[in-house]
Amino acid sequence: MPMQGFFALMLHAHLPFVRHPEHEKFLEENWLFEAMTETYIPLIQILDGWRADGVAARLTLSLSPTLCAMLRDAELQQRYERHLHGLIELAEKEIHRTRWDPALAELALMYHRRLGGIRETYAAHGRNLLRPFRQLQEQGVLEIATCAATHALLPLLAEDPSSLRAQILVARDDYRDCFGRDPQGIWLPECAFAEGVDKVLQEANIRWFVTDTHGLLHARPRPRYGVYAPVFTPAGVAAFGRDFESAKQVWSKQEGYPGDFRYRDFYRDIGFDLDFDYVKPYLPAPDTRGFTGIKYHRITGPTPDKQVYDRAAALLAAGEHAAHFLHARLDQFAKLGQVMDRPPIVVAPYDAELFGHWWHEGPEFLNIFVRQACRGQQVFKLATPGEYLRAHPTHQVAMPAASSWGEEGYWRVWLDETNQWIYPHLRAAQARMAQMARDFPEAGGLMERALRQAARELLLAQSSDWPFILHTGTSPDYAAARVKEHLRCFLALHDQICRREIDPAWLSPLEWTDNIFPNVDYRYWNSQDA
Amino acid sequence: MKPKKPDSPPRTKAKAVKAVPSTLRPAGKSRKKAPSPAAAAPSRGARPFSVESETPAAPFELKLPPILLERDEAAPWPASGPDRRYVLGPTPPEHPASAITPLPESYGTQQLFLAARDPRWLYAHWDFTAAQLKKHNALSADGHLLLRLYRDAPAGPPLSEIHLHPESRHWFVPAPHAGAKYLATLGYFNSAKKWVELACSAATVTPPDSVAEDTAVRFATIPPDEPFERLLALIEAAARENVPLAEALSELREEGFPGLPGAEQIPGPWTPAQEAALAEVVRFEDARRIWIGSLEVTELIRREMEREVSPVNPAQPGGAFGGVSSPSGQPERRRNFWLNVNAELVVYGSTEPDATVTIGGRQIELRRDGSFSFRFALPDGTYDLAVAARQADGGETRQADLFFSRFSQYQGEVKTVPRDETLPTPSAGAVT
Repeated sequence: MPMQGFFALMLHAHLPFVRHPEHEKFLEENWLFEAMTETYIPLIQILDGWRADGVAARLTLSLSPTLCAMLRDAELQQRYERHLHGLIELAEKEIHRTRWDPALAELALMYHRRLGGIRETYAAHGRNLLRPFRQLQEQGVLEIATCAATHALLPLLAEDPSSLRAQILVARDDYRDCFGRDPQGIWLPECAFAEGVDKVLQEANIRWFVTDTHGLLHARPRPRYGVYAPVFTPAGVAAFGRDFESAKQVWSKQEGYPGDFRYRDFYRDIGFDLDFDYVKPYLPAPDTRGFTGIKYHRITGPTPDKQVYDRAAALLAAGEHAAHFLHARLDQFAKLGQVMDRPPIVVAPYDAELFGHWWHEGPEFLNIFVRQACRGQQVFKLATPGEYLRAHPTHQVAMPAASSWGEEGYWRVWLDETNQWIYPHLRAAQARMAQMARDFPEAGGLMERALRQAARELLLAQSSDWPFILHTGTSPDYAAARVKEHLRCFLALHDQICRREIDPAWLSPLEWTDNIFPNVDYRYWNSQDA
Repeated sequence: MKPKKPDSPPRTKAKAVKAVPSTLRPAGKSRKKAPSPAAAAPSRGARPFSVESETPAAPFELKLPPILLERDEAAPWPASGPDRRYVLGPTPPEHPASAITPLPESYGTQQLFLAARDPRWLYAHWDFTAAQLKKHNALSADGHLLLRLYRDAPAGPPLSEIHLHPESRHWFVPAPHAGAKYLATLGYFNSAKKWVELACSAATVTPPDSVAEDTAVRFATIPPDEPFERLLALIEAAARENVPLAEALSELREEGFPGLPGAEQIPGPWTPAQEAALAEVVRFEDARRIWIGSLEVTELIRREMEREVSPVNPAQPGGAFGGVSSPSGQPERRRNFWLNVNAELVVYGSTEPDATVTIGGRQIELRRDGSFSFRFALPDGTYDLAVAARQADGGETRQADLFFSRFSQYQGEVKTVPRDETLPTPSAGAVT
């Protein structure tokens, strides 16, 4: 009898900390609003549905600390509510505008209904999405993993152990604040691992992480079970490897689902298509066209002539793909079950924003797949890494290879000619922060405030999103400005701290705008405490 | 011979879009101030959804809607398919140049830093001010510095010696071997042809790019609910504190050490047949050759569609000391003649500011001055639209019944999608 396997479906939800209270509206805040409308709130609706219908589903969700900070920020909550109100108003106008075009009118009605439902869910959870996620974890549907404090690429911090340590310990503290317990698992930013990271995870008592496929396959010594069982690093932390097959079926250009021609096209948005004056009040930033989320066309094919979106056909596609994905898993587990001498685990992590934001029908795909997987088959069951380790605590000891799930599998995305300029500044700032932590082990009052703010500025400058954006070119001016601004503020704070002359009038506004991690412990940069 | 600097990756040329008017941290009166500590909460009665500024009601004056008189910005050529991370539109937005004080050019520590970027490339940077570089370059017989790469230790002949641009502070260095330890030194040859070392880096190790030869297997049992602190105390008590935790626990279990947590059975030996059977499923070599990541496939779809739609190659900018520029492509001359036409309907008007107005039976919101305008899509067909206004106190009403029809006949292929962003939109000035 083949061994029953475990399927660990994982979603990694992350956005960089973008909060500009000094502006009425700010374009890049739209990343958060779009993700909330199209991914996070629909995901909560789906998870609530599983719980209500008694579906024995288990999902692992990592929520980065920067995302958590934004989700519970009062200013951003208010702005999101305003944004949603505007979208609903726009959808109402669209119902008017499209009244004589039945295909578009039907879609306008769909958006209006959908957005109303989003608003209801948001209000029902008191405008704080961390609450339902926490409840779902306490009810056993979710295992919530943490992530590095500001999503820094940890292998590039390996030369600065104090900064590496701070990214993990600050994240652990923040997780305690948000979810009332210690994190068991971590999503390493970009799945990026290098030797040394596991020692810091050990200090934080974090028990598992995920590497990309080659990170585990190239482990030393060679892992006997490939990616179908985790290994323990020498520090005792479990490393799970991403499954290539389930990744390929969703992501692959040849075989992947999201590019199906029936699915909604991302770029044909009325924010770009319609008259500027008409959409202007609803745009993410004044006088700049941007996405509204109301889109009427499907991918159609490799052509600029997009056909009108057919929702029924798209849902049919999602159902077909979910069934295909399920059968592929059944085949995979059937083969593995015959070969392995222990229960195999297949780990399938994805960016959460794939489902709903990038791939509009992704949540429907997920919902159908999970419900079908939990009904009537015994070949595999859904599980989280923590559950798997509790049931099976004995594993091979091996050191995973340095790796990431970024382009080409290492750090090329974050260290090339577009973004290498960042690192000399970060290295200098990191060394200065470590020195300040040693020089002021017991600071209080204004000095402590300054040291904490210096820690915040450094953490925000270390975000891997900025070099990522510089590499991809999606919003390069903004990314470069963010790095420079945080480093400049850090250097100014460092100067004031060393001279022991803190300017509270200058510090207070900075504490207001860059207000992440209110209780950050700057002492984590003192590696002598480790 | 001086080696060429490695190529920079191509960078998509951003098309000009209207800039966001504010910097990240604006100065001046428009900037919202940080609240004082006593006034952190928003005031009651605030209108949380108001975005537009408050202006006093102007005297009524009939105006033509601006759309009929002004150019509209044509949407840039759209990409297609699913999205990729942090996209805000088909082209990147531009932010105006910030007034931020520039970062220091260098911190003057004269340190050399070396990091592995992937199995075959290293990144080196050195922290020298312009004055420091100038001083050392002047002492160098070559007029510039050199970077020497070593395997394992900075001794003996270097693996490679790279001549650096006199003003450069970084370099991407090819690494001959994956999974190997490297160090580098920075220096120059003086006039006596003697090597003068300025800095030596710490060691870095390139990631491996193949499966391990070592297939020895050792198991450990580490229940996740047992805190590491307690496990570390246990191995310290067993005098194994210098051995990594997992290995120490494995050794202690083999020795029958009492009190170890967890009791799962250790798997038996793995037979060659099992290894072969698993290799059918695992495909170790695929993971390295056919990498699939979240950026790549959406990027592949996007590039594929862009190539099929418009074979424009992005120009590659040369940085000051950056990589070799590659030639930029020119757009292909379109072979097929084309025409795009579309039509919309604008209904606009005005009434008393406190009146109730419906269009087609649905109530609409008036502007402060009582004016309104509505745009409608207008495909072929006949339409009637009633515009009605009722006085605020429920008194008089007025109504206009408007009848429209659109009927299109085409000769040749005519589409509705705008293809050329320089194509002007209809306006009095554009009609000849």
